[in-house]
Amino acid sequence: MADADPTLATPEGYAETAAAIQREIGKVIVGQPELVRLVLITLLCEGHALLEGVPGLGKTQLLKTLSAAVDVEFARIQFTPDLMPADIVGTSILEEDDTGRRRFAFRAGPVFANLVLADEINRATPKTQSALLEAMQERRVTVAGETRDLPRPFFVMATQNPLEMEGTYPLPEAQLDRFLVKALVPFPSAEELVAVVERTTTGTEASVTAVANADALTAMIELTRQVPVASHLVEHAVHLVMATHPNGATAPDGVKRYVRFGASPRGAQALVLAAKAAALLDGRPNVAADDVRGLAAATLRHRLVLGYEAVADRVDADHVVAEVLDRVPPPGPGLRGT
Amino acid sequence: MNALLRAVRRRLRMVWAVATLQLVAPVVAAVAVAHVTTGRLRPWSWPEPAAALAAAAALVVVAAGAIALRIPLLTAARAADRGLGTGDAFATALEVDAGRPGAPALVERVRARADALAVRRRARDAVAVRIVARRVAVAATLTVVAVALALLPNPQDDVRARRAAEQALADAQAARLRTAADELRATGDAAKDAAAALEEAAADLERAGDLDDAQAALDRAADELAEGLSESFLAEKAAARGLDRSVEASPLASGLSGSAAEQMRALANEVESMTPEERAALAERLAALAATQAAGNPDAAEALQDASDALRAGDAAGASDALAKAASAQGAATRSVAAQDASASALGSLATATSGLQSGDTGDSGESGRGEGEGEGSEGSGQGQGQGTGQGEGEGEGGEGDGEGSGSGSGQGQGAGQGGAGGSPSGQVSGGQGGSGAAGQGGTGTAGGTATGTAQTDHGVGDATVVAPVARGTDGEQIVVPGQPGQGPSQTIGKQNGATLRGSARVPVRDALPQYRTQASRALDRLSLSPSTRALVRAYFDSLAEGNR
Repeated sequence: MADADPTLATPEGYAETAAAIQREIGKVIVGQPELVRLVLITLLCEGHALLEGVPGLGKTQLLKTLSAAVDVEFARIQFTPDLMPADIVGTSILEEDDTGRRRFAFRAGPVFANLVLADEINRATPKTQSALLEAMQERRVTVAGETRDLPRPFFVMATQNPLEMEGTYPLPEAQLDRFLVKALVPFPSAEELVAVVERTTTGTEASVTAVANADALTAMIELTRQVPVASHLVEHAVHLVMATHPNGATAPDGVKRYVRFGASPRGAQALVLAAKAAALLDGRPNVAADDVRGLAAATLRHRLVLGYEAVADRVDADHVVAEVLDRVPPPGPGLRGT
Repeated sequence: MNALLRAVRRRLRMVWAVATLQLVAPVVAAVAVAHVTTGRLRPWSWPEPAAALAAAAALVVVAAGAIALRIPLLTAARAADRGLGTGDAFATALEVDAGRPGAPALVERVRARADALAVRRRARDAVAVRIVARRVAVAATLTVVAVALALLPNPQDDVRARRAAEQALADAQAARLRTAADELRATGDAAKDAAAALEEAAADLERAGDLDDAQAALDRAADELAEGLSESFLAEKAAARGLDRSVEASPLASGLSGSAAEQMRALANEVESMTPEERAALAERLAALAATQAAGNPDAAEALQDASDALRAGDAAGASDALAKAASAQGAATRSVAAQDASASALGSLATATSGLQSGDTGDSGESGRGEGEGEGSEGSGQGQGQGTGQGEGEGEGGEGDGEGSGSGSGQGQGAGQGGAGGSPSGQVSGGQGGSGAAGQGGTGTAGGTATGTAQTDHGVGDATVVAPVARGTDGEQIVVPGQPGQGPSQTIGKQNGATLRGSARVPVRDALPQYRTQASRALDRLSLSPSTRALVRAYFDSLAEGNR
């Protein structure tokens, strides 16, 4: 296990540690490099990720492997309709000490782990889902009138199944907005699937080594936030977000037709922050326009509220974001002839 | 890195200029085509130069715009980042240098990375020149069309040349007027106003757009000058100058000299001391002089008569006072005559300029003309040939004559002349040979008041202004018939043929002049002529009388 290392405050150490984490994950997860990279970016931004995919694609396995690769406290919550908020945040129970005296003691819920896996989050009731709201945004919970800070770093990795809508409760927009990214888990290719089958049917399990701990992650998170980003790239991120608003001056036709509400300001924040992490993962000390544009879909797709026309025309958020990217070109010098 | 960014900035200026030119070029080329096309439809001289000027101006403006274009280094950095694919390293490096926050370790690496990326990079790789083929093709096509239209023979060229010639003609006449004004001004203060009028007319000529405007300017100036001429100018002039000449030739008293006014002023002081015989002789002389002044200078005549009467009555003081008044009246008359004389001279200059405009006389030395003619008796006819257009007719009394002009080329000319004494004396006759009979008896084919044949010629004219109503010559005299402006440069070569009678044509002009004046005065009374024209005719005969005196 790697200790908190001063070299982690350098781009090289940062990239090396991140690459090590990816390598460890790769021992278990076959393929899906973009998904792994996206989860890692979320981790390094101290954000929360929502993974969406059909069952059996390794969503849960990915997060379990991640928790093994980084030596942090891990908790898994299987969301079901009968799951109660107290099952997440914890509760006060009546205890009797050795002297027979009774008192209320707080029993922390799984949310007090560093890495929380909220599996099939859309199966819980909105009331239970909302229990995560304060934890995800404020990084603290209030139980029985008492507010308790969550440990740092704190990540929520949630999964949801887009197919089985029966008996599910779609996440409200406010809660979706608190996820840094929404990653779509693709079906593996034939070659990847062959590798998956071979790995999981031989009776041997890959050994994942923890290559980073909480301190190391904290240092990397701090470095992520200090990556220089040129002003025009911040403006470009904002322009992308503004273009998702149907009433915006730069909104493309697809946005005007299919989007009811555009991305929130958190979308721009998420875009720039994720771009910083992406730059460091690539070993660069500064953000590039491609970082911003490359992460636009992951950071904006779950923040768009599409109208019924989109459903009728089978247009998804990714299609709209792609149209936005076409409409808002990469920032250039802005001179005639260039 | 900064060196690369500066090179990129220069490159951006060039790219901007090229892009702007591609944007502007089709418009400028279209404007040029429109101008050149206009130049082929209208006889204006400015369309082609304006087209060239528009193209040149567009180039200059774009070049100046490129030079003046403010391109921050950060903009160049963005361009370099895009063109070289450096992942916004240059722009970020510039911003962190300017104080943008970042982890120190990262900031140092940003700078180092930017410098490393700038090594061996070229500005041309960072910013490419984009050629929009469609725009370039449109501009090139329009430019070719414009150049072709400009180079092909233009049907308006002849008209333009004529207008240029007209302008040159007007300028030449303006120069003449300025010279005449200078000469007038040199004669004394009395000619100051007339000289100023000529200067103004010269300026109007130079501003005139065509011959019509020029002629109108001359007419205006002539009208203004004519207003200053008295109806009895000739009588006033004859009286004032006659009195001067008389007393200069025969002083009023022994020992006196100078002008009449000076002698009368001196005599006023000497009357008292004169003997009765001297007073009687003086009274006699003053009475005679008073009689000569009655028509031209009534004030002087009255004063002289009073002085004579007083002398006869033995009133020396009264005679002295009357002589002083006579001196004063004579002085005033002399000044008035001088001023009017200057105006008349100026009118003559204007008439010459008018003639020059109509004849195409630019003041250059002329060539001797050719012509034929013979005449005898009091009748004759003349023919003129000329180019251009114009018509004119004239009639005369005491003889008959007519003239014709035939045009060639682009115009026609017709000249009509007056024969004999009735001919209006404004014609021009040039050439030294040929001609009709003198004294208006022979038809000259020239002297018509509005005789034409448009005469754009230098032949046989020069600066000469022939004032004789009838040319005297032998066979082969050339007649130049001034006419109204026609189309196209042309020349008029008159040829006179006519049967004339011998005899009266040989009469000297001096002898025939009184008859001419009488006929002219009758004509002036009979015809509907403007005051300026009347003044012009009178001035003309004054000049004749002056020259033959």
